Amino acid sequence: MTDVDFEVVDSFERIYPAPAVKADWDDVLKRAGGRPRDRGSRFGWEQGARRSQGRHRRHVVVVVATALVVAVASASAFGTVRDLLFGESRSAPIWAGAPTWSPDGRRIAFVTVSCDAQACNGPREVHVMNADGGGQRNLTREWGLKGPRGPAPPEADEPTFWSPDWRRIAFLRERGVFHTFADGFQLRYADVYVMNSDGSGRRRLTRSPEMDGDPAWSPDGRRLAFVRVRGGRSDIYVVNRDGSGLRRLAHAIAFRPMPGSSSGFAANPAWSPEGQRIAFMSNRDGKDDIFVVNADGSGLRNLTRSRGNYYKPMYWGSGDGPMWSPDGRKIVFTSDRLYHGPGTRDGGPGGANEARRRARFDEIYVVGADGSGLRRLTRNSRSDGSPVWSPDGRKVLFTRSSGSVYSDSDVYVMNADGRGQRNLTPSLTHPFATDTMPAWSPDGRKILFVSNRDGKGEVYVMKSNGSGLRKLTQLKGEN
Amino acid sequence: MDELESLYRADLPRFVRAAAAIVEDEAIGRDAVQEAFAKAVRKRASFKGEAALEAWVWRIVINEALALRRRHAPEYQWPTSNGSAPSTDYQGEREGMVRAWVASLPERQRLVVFLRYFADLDYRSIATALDVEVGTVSATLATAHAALRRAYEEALR
Repeated sequence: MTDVDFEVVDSFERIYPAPAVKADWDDVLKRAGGRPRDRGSRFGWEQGARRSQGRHRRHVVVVVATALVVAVASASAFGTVRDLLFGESRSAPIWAGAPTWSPDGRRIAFVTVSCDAQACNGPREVHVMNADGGGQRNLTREWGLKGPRGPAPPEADEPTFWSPDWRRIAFLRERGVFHTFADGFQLRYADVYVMNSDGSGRRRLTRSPEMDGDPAWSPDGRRLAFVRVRGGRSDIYVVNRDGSGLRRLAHAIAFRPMPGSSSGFAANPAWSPEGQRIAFMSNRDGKDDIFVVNADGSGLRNLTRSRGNYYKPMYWGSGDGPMWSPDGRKIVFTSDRLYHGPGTRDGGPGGANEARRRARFDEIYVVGADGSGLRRLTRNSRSDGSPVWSPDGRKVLFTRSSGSVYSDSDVYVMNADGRGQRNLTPSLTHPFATDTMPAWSPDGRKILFVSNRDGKGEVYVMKSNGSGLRKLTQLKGEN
Repeated sequence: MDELESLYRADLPRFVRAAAAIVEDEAIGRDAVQEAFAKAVRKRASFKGEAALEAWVWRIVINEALALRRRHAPEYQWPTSNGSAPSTDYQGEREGMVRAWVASLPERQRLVVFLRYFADLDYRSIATALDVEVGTVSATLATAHAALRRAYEEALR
């Protein structure tokens, strides 16, 4: 055994102390005889379990029983085993996502999506509540809207499209199918709408040739950037809040349709804090890169100049689009460029790290808004993602997953230079929980995130040092 | 005394420890072991003796623990009074790291590590308990060790 081995055994002894248990062979024999047990009287924690067992069991236990047999016996890749064990079995009737604070920090909006054992294809609905979790309202229903359905991973970061002052909201409305793939996956026409946040003044802002999406409000709330998909490519557009001044700024993505995801929108346009520039993701130079363009269409610039062709596909809603620092001087983003391409330290295709490259370990990077000072902030064999600047620009929240997918993740914080990386949601009791979608409060003192540690995706809040954890939502069943 | 019963009496703490690690709760882990032994008693006739009885029982215990974890996962409570805030002392940091590392392991690696260190099983018994080849066990442990070393190096940087 090496030092490391001794150390791990030593740690195991402390973390998992040998239990002091009394033998009860009679109990074993009674159980073997098939006597029905009153589980509720044995353990206090089961009192609550009963209430919600019904639906969970249907979804979870059946899948799990099958998955376990397959997974434990199978010699297939670890990722597959993990997905079998934890991916499907975790599927819950409902999942909260994309929690965001109102500008005054007094309210919280979030989105829910309903799921079955396979996917989260139910309607996505917007909710709002007070910062303490009270006064919860389903705005989508109050607005008389029908939440959009569509394939989305459980972690889907379906944006709520609130204007910066929360007085207006942009949303997408679909109409009809314009393309059906061989496997049945359909693409629908979608337009951008806006309305006041009390539901009044609803109007259509764009009429798309195919799909418009990914709207982003300018900091002054007067304009929106959005992505227009047409004929297998997508472009960045801006339009005024009243629908006037529609303008194409730049070609973004040569659309690579991937059934099951809406990757065509994955340009993730983001306004700079002063509202003069827009950062977005694009493969217009043949690789996946971060670009910046002025809001009048001038000054287009590739900030990252990738060398490899093997960048990760950009998933809409992975939360990994570019994000500006509050002073507008830097941009954080997620990439697996470290493991790709000739000239990178891990070699090209067929190189020594082919497996790692395939595993697509994402890391977090920062680059100057002028393209200078590209720097990697994280490095490890997990997937880091969803970087979020703190309001004062001194820290960055992010998520770190156990493997190559965005699950089994924790919320981390680090200094803006990458130092001091710290897990804010470590847990022995929920090691496989997905803690994701972190969001700073406007004053930087609290952090919202979504976790499935209780089986469903719920919204939690904690202080910025990870203490004072509290669950804010109690989502019930299918919505 | 029945062979199963003597195994139970001799090694209960080992079984409960591994099961508790899998379900992340000692009481539920204990429940898993009781239930697993009950199953072993019922299914005793189907044990063909081509492998060690102990490894056969381990397989049942593991399956039972995994099933219980799944069943009760929605109701775990977050420990609000302790454990939620990251500790700052050196040993606490190391423990937190090992904890995170264990949590981050893919399931099979985690089980292999548990069985190796908690249950002190040899490679052949682990292979039987998990129904995999011995080579898979050793490769998995090697992978897990490599991951841990990386985690340590990262933490020490």
